[in-house]
Amino acid sequence: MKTTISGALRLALRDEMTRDETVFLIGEDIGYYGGIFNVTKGLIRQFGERRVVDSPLDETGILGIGVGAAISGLRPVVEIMYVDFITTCMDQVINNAAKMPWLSQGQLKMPLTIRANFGTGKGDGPQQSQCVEAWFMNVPGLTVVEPSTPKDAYGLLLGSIRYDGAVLFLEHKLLYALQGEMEPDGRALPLGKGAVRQEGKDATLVSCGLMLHKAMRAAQELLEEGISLEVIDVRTVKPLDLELILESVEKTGRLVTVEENPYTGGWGLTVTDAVNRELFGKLKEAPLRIASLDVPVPVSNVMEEMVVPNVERIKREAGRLVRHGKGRQ
Amino acid sequence: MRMSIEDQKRLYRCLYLTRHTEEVLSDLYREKKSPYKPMTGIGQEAVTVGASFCLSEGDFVSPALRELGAMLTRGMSVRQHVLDALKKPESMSGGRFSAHHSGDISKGIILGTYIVGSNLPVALGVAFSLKYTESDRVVLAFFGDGASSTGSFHSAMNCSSTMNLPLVLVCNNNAYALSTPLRFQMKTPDIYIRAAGYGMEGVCVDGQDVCGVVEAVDKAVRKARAGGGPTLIECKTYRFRGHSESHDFDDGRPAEELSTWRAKDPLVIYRRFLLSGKKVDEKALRRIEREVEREVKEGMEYAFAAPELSADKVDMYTHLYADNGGREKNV
Ligand SMILES: Cc1ncc(C[n+]2csc(CCOP(=O)(O)OP(=O)(O)O)c2C)c(N)n1
Ligand SMILES: [Mg+2]
Repeated sequence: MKTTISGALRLALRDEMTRDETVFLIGEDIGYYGGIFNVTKGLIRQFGERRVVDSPLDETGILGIGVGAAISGLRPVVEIMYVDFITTCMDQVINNAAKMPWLSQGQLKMPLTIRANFGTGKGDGPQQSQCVEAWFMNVPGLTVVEPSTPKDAYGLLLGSIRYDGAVLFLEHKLLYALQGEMEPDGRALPLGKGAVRQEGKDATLVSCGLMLHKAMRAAQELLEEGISLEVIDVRTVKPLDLELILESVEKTGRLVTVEENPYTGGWGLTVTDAVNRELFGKLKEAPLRIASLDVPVPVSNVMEEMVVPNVERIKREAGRLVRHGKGRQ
Repeated sequence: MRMSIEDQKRLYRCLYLTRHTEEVLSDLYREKKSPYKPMTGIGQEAVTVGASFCLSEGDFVSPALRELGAMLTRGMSVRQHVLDALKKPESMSGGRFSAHHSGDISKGIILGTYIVGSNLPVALGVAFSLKYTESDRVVLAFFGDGASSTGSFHSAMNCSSTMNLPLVLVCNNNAYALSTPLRFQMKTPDIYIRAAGYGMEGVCVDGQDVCGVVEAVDKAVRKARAGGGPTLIECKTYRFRGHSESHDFDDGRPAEELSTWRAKDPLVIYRRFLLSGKKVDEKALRRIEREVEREVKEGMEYAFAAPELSADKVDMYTHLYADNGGREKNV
C-alpha cells in the first residue's frame, strides 16, 4: 500500500498496541487532538484514555513516567512535541533512561521509545528546528533512530518499541507527508542497520533523514555529469552501521557525510573517525563533511536556507571532491 | 491605582491598539497577504495590557507567547512588531527570532523563548539582579495554565519566594494549553492557591475585567517595589481564537463555552465602564480608535514596504560569541 511517513508511524503504533497490551502512548496533545503532526490521530478512539494519555505540559513528568513505567514492565512510547523541548527533561533521558539497565547489571530493562519531530524547513526558528542527534552521540546507552521512508518508519518504530533499551526516535517534520510503498505486516526492522539507497563507485555519501533525500537528489544529478555516488542511509544514527559504511568507502575511496546538524561536533564525526582509522591508507581523498553552519537556526527562511545544506551545495562540494580532490575552496 | 481620566483613556488606547494590531495581522494571514502566523491574545487583553500598564519606567516585563499586549503597552511600536513579524533586516532580531518572543531590553521587554515556562527562571534572575543592586524596580512575568505544569514554574515560585525577590507572576489561565483542557492539566482549576505552599501571596481575578487586573497587579507591584517579595496573580481568561491563526477559531472547544466567554469581551466591558462614568464619551473613544487605526496602518505600511532580507547582506555570525572574534566559522 501507499502511505505517508506519518501514516506509517500511525500504523506501527496501532499494530504494536494491538499486539502488545503493555504498549501505551503519552504526550502533550496526542490524544483527542491527535498530535501536532497528526501521527496519533484516532488512536485514542480505538484504544481509549488508558493507553493514549494526554499529559500535562510537563516533559520531565512524562519522561519520568516513561522511565518508571519501562522499568516496571510496560513499553511506553513517549512523545516530545518538538525535540528541542527535550532539553527540559534531559536529566531523565541521560541520567536515568540511558543508564539504569547498565547500573543495575540488567535487573532493570528500559523498553522506552521517545518519539519527537525535529529539523529545519518550516521557519520554526532557533528553539523549534534543531537537529540534535549529536547531543546524544556522547551518551552511552542510548539508541538514536531516524527513518527516511514510510517503510522504514513503520519497521523501525516497531523495532524501537520491541527493543529493551531506550530509543530516541527522531521524525523529520518535513518528511511526514512523504509518500511511499509499505506493508503493515507487523515486521520490525533491526536497529543499527543502514541501507544502501543507491550504488556508485566514485564516492560514498552517508546521510539520514531529510538530508538523505537531498543527498539522493544530488547523487542523481551528478550521475548525469558522469559522477557515480553510492548513497547510504544510516537509519540508526547511534549506533552507526560502520560495517556497511566501511565496506562502501573501501570500494569508492571517498567519503562525504551529509548532516543537518551544525558542523562542529556533528554525528558525522563518528563516521569520518572510523573511516580514517580503518581505511587511512586506502582513501583517495580526506573525508569531507557537509553540515549546517555553526549558528542557531534563524526564523527567516532566507537565512535558514543559507544555514542548512541544500542539493546545490551537496552537488558542488561532493562533485568537487571527486573531480579535483577537494571538498571546498 | 488611582487612575486619572487621561490614564483611563491611555489604558483603553493600549487595549484597542493590541486588539486592532492582532486582528489586522490575523486577517492578513488568513487572506494570504502576509506570511506571518500570529498567536493572538485576542480576548486576553485585559490581562496582558492591564498587568503591564501597572509598570513604570525601568521595570521589566517577561512575555510568554501571546503577550503582544504587554510589548505594545511597554512601548514597542506596531512598526517594530511587524518588522519582526515579517523578518525584515531592520527588525529587532534581523530575521533570527520570532516576533512572538522578540524583546526590546531598552523598553524593559525581556527576550522570550519558545520553550513554555522557560521565561520564568529568566525573569527570576532579572528580579535577583534588581534586589542585588538595591533597585526599586520590579519584574512582571507572564505564563499560561500550561506553563504552570513545568518545573520552571516551580523554580520561579520557590526561589523568588525564598529569596524575597521583586517578581510579579501573572498567569493567563485561559483554560487550554494548545488543545489540552484544564482537566488534563491539573487536578484543581485554580492555580493561585499554589502560592500558599510557597509562602507567597496568591490572588485570583477576573481576567476579562481590566480594572480588577490593574488593581491586583498594581498592589503586587507596589509590594514588590517596597521589598515585600513576589505575588502570584491568576487571571481567569479565555482566548477567543485558536492556538495560532492556522487553527480554527473554536479549535475543538465547545461552541457554548466559546460564546459564553465571547460575551465577556474585555474591550466591550472596559468601554462600557468608561462610558458609564460619564467622564469619557463615545466621541472621545472613537477618536482614540481612529488614532490607533491610523497608527497601525502606518506601522504596517512601513514594515511591509521595508526591504526584504537578501542572502548577500545577511549577518549570520555577529554576537554568537562575545568577542566577535571570527573564530566562529568552522565550516
Ligand atoms: C516545553 C514545551 N513544551 C511544549 C511546547 C509546545 N507548546 C507551545 S505553546 C503550548 C501551550 C501553552 O499553553 P499555556 O501555557 O496555557 O499558554 P497559552 O497558549 O494558553 O497562552 C504548547 C504545548 C513548548 N513550546 N514548550
Ligand atoms: Mg493556556
